[in-house]
Amino acid sequence: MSYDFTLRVAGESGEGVITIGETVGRLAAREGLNLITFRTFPAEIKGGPCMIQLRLSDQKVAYHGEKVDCLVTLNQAALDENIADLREDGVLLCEAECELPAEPSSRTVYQLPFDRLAVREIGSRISKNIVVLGALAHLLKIPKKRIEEFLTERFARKGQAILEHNRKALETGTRVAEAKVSPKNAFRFPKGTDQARMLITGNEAIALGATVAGMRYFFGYPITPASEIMEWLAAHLPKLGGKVLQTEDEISAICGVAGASWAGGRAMTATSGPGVSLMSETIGLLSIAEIPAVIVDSQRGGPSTGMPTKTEQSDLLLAVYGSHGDAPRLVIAPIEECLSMIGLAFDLAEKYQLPAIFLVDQALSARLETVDPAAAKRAPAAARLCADGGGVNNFARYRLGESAVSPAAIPGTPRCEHMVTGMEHDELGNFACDDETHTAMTVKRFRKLAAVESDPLSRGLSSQFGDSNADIGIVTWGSSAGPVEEAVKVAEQQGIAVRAIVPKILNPLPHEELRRFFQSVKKVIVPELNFVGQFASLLRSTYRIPTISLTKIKGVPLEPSEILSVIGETAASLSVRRTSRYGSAR
Amino acid sequence: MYNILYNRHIGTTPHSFLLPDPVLDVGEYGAILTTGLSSGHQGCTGCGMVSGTNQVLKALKLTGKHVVASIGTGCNEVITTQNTSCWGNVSVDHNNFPNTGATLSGNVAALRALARAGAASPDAFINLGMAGDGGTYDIGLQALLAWIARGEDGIYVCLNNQAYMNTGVQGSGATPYGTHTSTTPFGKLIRGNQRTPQYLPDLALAAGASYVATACPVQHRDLMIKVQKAAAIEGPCVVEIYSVCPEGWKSETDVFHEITEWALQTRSWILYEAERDRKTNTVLFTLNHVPEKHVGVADYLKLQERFAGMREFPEMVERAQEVIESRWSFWQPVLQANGIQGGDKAHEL
Repeated sequence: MSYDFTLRVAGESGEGVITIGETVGRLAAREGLNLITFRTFPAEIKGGPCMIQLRLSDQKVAYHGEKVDCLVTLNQAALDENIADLREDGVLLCEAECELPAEPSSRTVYQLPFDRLAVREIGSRISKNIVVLGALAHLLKIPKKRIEEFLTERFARKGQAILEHNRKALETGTRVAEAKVSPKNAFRFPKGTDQARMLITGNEAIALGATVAGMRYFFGYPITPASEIMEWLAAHLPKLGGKVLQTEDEISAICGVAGASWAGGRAMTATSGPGVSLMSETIGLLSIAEIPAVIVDSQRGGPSTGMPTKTEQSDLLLAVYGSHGDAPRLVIAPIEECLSMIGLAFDLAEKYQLPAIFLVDQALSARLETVDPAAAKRAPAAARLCADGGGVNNFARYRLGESAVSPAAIPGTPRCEHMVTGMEHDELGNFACDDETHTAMTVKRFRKLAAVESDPLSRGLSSQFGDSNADIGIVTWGSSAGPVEEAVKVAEQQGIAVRAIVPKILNPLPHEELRRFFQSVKKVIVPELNFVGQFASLLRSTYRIPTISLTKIKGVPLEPSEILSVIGETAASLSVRRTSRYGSAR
Repeated sequence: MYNILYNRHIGTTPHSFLLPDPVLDVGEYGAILTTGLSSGHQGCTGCGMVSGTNQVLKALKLTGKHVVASIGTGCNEVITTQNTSCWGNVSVDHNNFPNTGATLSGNVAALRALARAGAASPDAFINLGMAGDGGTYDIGLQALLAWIARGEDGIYVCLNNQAYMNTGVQGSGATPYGTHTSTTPFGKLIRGNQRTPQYLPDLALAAGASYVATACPVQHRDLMIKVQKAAAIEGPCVVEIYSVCPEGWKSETDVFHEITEWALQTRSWILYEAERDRKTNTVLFTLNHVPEKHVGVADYLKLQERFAGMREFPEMVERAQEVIESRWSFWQPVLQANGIQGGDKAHEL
């Protein structure tokens, strides 16, 4: 029996809820366990409800878990809000003052006076989270030595007094718990793998991965939930001789990227939907001027200012089609492996001289996860095709040839002086608006997408799981893959065969793989986090297939049970109408 | 540019040479019965912006006109829009981050159209725009300067807390030199923010504003008189309010007044106003406050942990002092005329 434990800590923002969760997570990761987290942020600047959920396992985990084994709540509101998600055989550790739900349940409940202990015994309410951590350490049977090591690491540099203060808070929590709480063996961390792992958030992974990919020029403007990328880079990129420039808005940020990239550097910006909206015109410029760039879009609830701290997958069509005119671009949507996928985004952008939109979302950006450090060693696998200056004058930057990719030239390369322009142009970059040139150049730019499709770099990038003989197929994208994977597993246990495919490149789509997938299944379910079913609509228009669209706009990720219920309905409908199959029933 | 004229008199008065009558003098404590920002907002404890907004709305309500407020994205928008009743009978429009200036123009057009249709009196409204320093100095600057250049009637209030606090304390165009923010971290290689901020009053005057003023929530009378003047004076008026932010400045929540007082004492924040006579293209500058004694900027850096790194480097403190002195030197003619030497009253003969 493998170890699979889900913990949720909930309270008020500022109470140290996240610290409790992250500490348990780090301790588990040190024992060699795999870990994935989900956290919510309040919309308020200070205060407001927040929670962190961790799923720990000795196996690889794709989803943060639906029901929790152990719930820790620091106030009444947190208890009321979260108690429904605690399993019937779960353990509740809550503040003593709180009123428990009236209906009877078989849950184990421990009420401890965290607040009073922190104020009376430790002398500061801020220490409450460390008291809770002490109690939790007892419940989870975390060795005292481990947790003390951690405290020392965290607080020693703040001075002996603060370290002692926290040590006392921890001991108080453990002591009180020892008297009241019986530790649960099932919760105890088993010995996991010995392999080294990194514990980083999606945003950190993007920033680190981009740095490893050779990105040295970052331009950005603060926006939730993408700001951490710029913050991480501001602290680390200058050490490598890189430059982080905070611009006055997103339009300047993307134009800065255009300049740095034209000059030959690997450049990036990171933003959210509102920023991509502002950048759209320049995405078109990058496309027509054939300048590589990477634009990270960490999606949040929209439109406009929308729900800045909540997750959504509603920028897909903006990423694929945004900007006016026919403007080809790459859209890359990692499921989890931000660290290596961002490197691929740079490689493809550079190789094909295209803007690449790296589509993640708030849940993925903020998710703390154990990651194989090998992914941070990914070396750039492609470079920009550049003229070396050996040719004659009249450098044809946009040469029409067999290959859609024409050699670029770093400004200053002798005999390669040229003009890049957002106007339609001929091979030399001269403005040209005759029908022939516009057609030839548009075709040239779109041929690059066809080349990407058959490039070994972008092959086999779809994640596939489930029963390959199944009649029910699921196609999803981005962070929705986690709950889908979980749902497919449970469906299998229930006797319903399901297969799923998750393309990680959404423009151009992996046509061959998808066509084969659609031919093999009778029904296609498309779960995603937006209202109109953007991915379903993209698939319908591209492949002319009927889809069952499962959408959700609650600002939180899909839950496996929601997907399972659609799987169940679809299975039932299939057993009634056995004849329908694509190609015949359409 | 414009001709500069100095007002010999130092201090705040309800008189403006652009107005036939003085505005209402609310007295030193601004003690009036009207409510500005009502309860229900979600501002942090010790937030200067809440107090600033409260006083702005109080002063405007005293005019008896209906306030139409356009607010740009930022802390002030976040904390007052989850429970909109805190605005009282103000009509509020939250636009996108870059658009506050443009929205002011839209409102002017709409109010004029209403007046032409006989649906409202043209003088019945106050066209108010509010945004933070990010929405003013950075992303909103283009719309703001364009609105000023169009010469339309209205008041633009910038609540300046010197960084993007709503998104987690990133530096802005108004962040002081040496400040630690999440995008200008204080490290070994780069020591905090390396730029010195621009100044909104300078930008607004250059674009053609009728009236500009700086204020702080601790000087109630000064702030409220300025806002009333801005409401009465024709054309675009800009008021910038110094707003303490305990969250972003890493200061205690109970030292709002102390920090603001130190800002005034050390001349890190200079209270002044400027009125433009369009006929002669002359701008009259009035200095509203001179510190009692000469205090170095080091005292201002003490209560705020955002300056913790910079405090350790005397050359950085010196540089910050130079920025202040260069700003203060503009007022030399007024100081000299008042017999104030070395920039402080203690030397007064």
